[in-house]
Amino acid sequence: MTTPVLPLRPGPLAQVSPRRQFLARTSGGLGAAALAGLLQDQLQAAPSHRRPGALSATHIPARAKRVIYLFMAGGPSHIDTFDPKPKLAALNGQELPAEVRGKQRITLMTRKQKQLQIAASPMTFRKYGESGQVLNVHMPELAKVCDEIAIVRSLHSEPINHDPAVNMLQTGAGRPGRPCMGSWVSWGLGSENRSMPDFVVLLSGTKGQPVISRYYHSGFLPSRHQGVQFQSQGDPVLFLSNPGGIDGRTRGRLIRGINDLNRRRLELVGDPEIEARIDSFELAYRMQSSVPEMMDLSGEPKHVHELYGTQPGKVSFANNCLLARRMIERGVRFVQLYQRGWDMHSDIKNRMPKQCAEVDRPTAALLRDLKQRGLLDETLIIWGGEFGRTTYCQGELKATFGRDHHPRCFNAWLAGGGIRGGVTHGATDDFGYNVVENPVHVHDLQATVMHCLGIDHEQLVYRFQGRDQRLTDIGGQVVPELLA
Amino acid sequence: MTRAAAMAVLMSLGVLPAAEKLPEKAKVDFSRAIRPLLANKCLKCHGPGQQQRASELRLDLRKSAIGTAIVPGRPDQSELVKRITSKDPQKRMPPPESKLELTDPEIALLKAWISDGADYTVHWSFVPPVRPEPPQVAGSGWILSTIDRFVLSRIERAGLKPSPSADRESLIRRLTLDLTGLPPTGSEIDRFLSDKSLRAYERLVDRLLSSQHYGERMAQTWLDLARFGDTNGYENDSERSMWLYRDWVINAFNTNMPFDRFALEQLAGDLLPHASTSQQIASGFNRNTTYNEEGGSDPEEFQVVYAVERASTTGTVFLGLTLGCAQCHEHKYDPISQEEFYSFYAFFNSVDGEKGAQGHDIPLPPLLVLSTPQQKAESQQLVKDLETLEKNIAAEVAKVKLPQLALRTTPPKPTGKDHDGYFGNQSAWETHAKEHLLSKLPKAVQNALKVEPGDRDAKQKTTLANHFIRFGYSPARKIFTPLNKRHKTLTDRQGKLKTLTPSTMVMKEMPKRRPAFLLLRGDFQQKGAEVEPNVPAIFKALPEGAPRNRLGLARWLIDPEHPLTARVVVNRLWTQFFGAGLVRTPEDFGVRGEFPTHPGLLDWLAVEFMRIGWNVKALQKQIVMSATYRQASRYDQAIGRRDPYNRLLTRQNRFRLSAESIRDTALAVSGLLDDRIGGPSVYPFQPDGYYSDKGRWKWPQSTGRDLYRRGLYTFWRRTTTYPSFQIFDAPTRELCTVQRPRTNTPLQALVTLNERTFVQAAHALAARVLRGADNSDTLRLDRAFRIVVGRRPDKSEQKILGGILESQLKHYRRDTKAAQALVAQGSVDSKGLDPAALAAWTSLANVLLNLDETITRE
Repeated sequence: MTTPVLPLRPGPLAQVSPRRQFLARTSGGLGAAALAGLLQDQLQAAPSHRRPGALSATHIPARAKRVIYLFMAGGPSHIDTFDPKPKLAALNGQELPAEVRGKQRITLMTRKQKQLQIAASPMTFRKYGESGQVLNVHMPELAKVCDEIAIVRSLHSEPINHDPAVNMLQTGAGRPGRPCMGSWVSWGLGSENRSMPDFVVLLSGTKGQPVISRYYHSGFLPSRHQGVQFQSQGDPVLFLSNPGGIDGRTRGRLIRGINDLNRRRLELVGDPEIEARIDSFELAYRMQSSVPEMMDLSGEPKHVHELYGTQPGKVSFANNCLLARRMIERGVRFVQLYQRGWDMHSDIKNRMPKQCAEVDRPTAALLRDLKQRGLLDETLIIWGGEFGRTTYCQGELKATFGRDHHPRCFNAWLAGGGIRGGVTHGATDDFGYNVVENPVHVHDLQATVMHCLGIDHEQLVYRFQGRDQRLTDIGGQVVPELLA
Repeated sequence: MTRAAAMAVLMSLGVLPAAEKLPEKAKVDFSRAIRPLLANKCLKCHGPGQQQRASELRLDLRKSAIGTAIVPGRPDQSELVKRITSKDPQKRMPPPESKLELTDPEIALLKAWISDGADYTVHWSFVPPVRPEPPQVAGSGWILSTIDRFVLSRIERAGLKPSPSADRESLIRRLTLDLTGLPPTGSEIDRFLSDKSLRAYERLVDRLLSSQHYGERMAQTWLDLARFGDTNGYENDSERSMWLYRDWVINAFNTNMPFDRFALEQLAGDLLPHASTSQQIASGFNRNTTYNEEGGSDPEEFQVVYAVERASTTGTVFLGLTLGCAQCHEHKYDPISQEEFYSFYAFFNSVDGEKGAQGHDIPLPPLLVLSTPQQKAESQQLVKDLETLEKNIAAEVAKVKLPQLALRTTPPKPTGKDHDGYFGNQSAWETHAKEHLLSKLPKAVQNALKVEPGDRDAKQKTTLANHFIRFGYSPARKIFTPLNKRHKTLTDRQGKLKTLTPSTMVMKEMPKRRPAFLLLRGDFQQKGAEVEPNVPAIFKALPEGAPRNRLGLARWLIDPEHPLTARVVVNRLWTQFFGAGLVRTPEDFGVRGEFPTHPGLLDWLAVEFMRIGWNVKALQKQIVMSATYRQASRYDQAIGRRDPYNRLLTRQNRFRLSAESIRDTALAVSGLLDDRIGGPSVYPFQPDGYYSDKGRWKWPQSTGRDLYRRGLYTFWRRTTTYPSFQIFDAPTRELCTVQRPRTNTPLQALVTLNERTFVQAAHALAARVLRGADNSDTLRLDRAFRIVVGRRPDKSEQKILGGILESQLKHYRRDTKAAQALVAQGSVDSKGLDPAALAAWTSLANVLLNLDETITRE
């Protein structure tokens, strides 16, 4: 029997109590410990290095402690990646049958087309591993570890444009204003480290498709649970560097001065909020050394660079995957990567192999590397985008055809803590247009992710606008077939 | 469990909103205790929500509940009590799978309420407020205003005492920050401290209420509600021009426009008879909706989205209700049906000229284009000048006689003189033009050129010949070059003037209303019954003959008999001065919202507000003149444990400043602040490449004084908010925000420590102190500290400050390179100042700007 969580009330004072619990256990002062071996400090993190979340205990035993979400922005074509449709070859160029299309809406980009011509995939597929997972041939590295992953072929959603669709995956609703998955997890489970944010976002890939900060926003949850996007230019964490003329030692001296004065004020006015401020300055100071140390890939051995295909100093999905592993090691709770470039309205034939090549090796490397370090069991990996793509081509069928948005069915895969590897779950029809078996709604996927983390998605709630809000809105059922 | 014990337990859990002693026989208050309980635990299935209702039983309606489920006076015979106490999981309510549970005290309370007769009363906020009699209190010596009676009465009932008044330095800083968003200057503090008259405080209040910065402070909060932004939101997030609306809000507050007028002009300014320019600008409130530009978006879908958003925002801002919940289904808790939601929505779905979706960077009609008198005059002059010039050119063209044979000659090789596109004959020019100029030529000329010379009609021939004479005929070059040049100057200026002329998005009603439908599950493709614009039935109906449009709606909202508008507004005004409202859920006055901490005071303020003609400044003056407001904010641990959220108001609240105010404070104390009011939004320092990961936008960084404007003028990109504001909890303003959270994070520390504006402010403050009249470091430290936090440091603070300064002087005297590097980042003139000293003082100023006290209003 689990204890229901009392919803925290929003408002200026809502987060006082958990913080006070923490503060009661920390001692003030910026001593030598802060300056000394930071990484070591974190790895041997004493319980006092945790900031508890809204949940005092998980609802069920947690299988995973942390999440790496590899978001494939733009909407990868399921028909060309994980859900082959061999029967389409014979129908290539024909009109999509009306009974298959049904009455669903399609976007204005193709709605005015005279024809909706079936376009067979230009990709070749093969079976891999002991499990016989089917992948296109442009993911040879992932193929080697495909027994680790559970593929969902029957994911479905409603929004048909990028922005609401990404929002749906991240926050459980197409409209803006709600917290994203990472924020819920950070709020619910709290922090595992004292020198790094709980929830980090990294971006890579072609820049055509904007990735806006709302996708990793904390919505109505306290904004400390917002994703911190590490910048690819300048300071990785905004304003991390001291101004010229102030070195690390001077900064330490000044922060000590600030906190001495803050402590004096605390004596006079007694506001516990000042203790939290003192703590924030100390953590900021620790981040000034721990973040650059973590971002610096040059110390990684050669075989690791070879494994991932990383080049220190470059902005790439590969580098971000390696950074994700380093963050996980340091106790970051939720790492969200966005890899752009999947919005293939044209030229799937040439773009898909390139795009697959960009993500294949680093993704497989991440799985291998985590496994080898004994971290895969406690880390949940999610791979997927905001929707799939249409069976029919956009415009006329030609060699360089592309596909339009299609939320009625698409793919994702999961791996790591709590996941049963080697599974392919759900099925679409011969056209790859409709789900015909074991449909998995986005809310179901979210419920499953929360389940792996030990959270009952119906019980992690926050009262806002009179409602007990949750990630899965009003839906969501855990998918047991995906669980180990 | 006795009822008093039950209530006490629930109060301690925060379920019941009280912390006062209860008489053993107290009657259970339905509105306060039972309705929230039912709403939280029962109404999901036994409430107004049709789709989810599991049975016919409705516990929100007395007529449905009374009978079998509830037998008034007889809890033992009531099915409800049997069910909530049943051990049988099949019968138990709430059912175990709902994961809702009633606690023992809650069960005791329900029983007590049924014993009392199970009275149902209308939810408190749906009943118009009546001016209550202020309560009698014992400690009348503390009382300064009627407000204090309400507050003290509750404090006394809890057996506590209010806090003493804050000292004068705290009071002036608190008041100045609350009313202007800026800290007081040293001389303002001196003047107040030396004013020994009884009216000193009131004079201070009056001065601040008439400050021009008052309007800026008020606007900042209103712009969150109005979800004002400089971009369209959604993925592409193009820019829009809306700053005239922002300036209208500032001006409305500064001129103390009565709130009913303020509401009316924003909701329906365009519909007022002979709507003035200003009233039309005000109507932009409803155009602050975000706008989707994504390719392939369905215009109809988004027209619906915008109207839904307007209806929800109006509901939140003026009614304090979550109307938007009824977009997809009946409201689960409040008596708002889905049909009523769409009837409300119907007021907002007929915007003339607004498209649902279109491409990027396109102005979004309906627009109001405005020019200054000078711009208007210049524009008219330009039209006249161009007319004269064109006549002149035409006359010159007519004078030129082209050699007839020229057409037949083969194109000569361009001679030196002709290299730049001038030719002796038309045919040579035509060949050249076709190859090199085609896309640059006027459309008519292009079209004529494409026709074979023999096939051209007379008009085409003239067009071509005239163009050739003006731009390509060498013999006439001398005549036309200056004329063409002048023509270009004039047309360029005309284009420039257009970009200089501000425009703003406004509301405009279609001549004939667009039909509105109930949308099943909120889906624009699933139209239900057609609906007429109307207000929810729980409220008084629209008056007979009132227009069924936004004007009628606005007048209905500001009707003094409306139960919500005034309450919702005074609650927000109260928040401005205490950091929390009397209703702690200012966005929800519905059944699931919190009960007011001081219901009598809320109603008294609401009625008073309407009595004095919705006079915002006058009401605010009453609040800040109270002893309640003037209390010290010192936190007492013992009372804090008893009343952790200070619901009893036994002290003032101490809270962090807003994002904008933190910036403004640093700029103000350092002397960098440019306090000009209004105008287009500006682009202060933002880290290079901040957008590069995210979108295609540019950040055209401002120059000069514009870098140091107040925060509310910072360009507001909705999907990617100005970073140092976002870190300090500023909302994106994609949607209406009633209350900003106030968090405390290490990322915030990094902003005030390292962000360029704050570093420059530290440098400027250092220079300011070093150039001051003080002749010792002790005096300078005192002065710097006082400039920033508004009081003198005490002995122990002086010691800490002295220690920091000493260490920094030592450091920068030794490391002159570091000193130079730090000083080089300043923006104010530091000629003649010793770089080591300036660097040391800059780092000291950096300490001061980072103090908790500096970014806190106490």
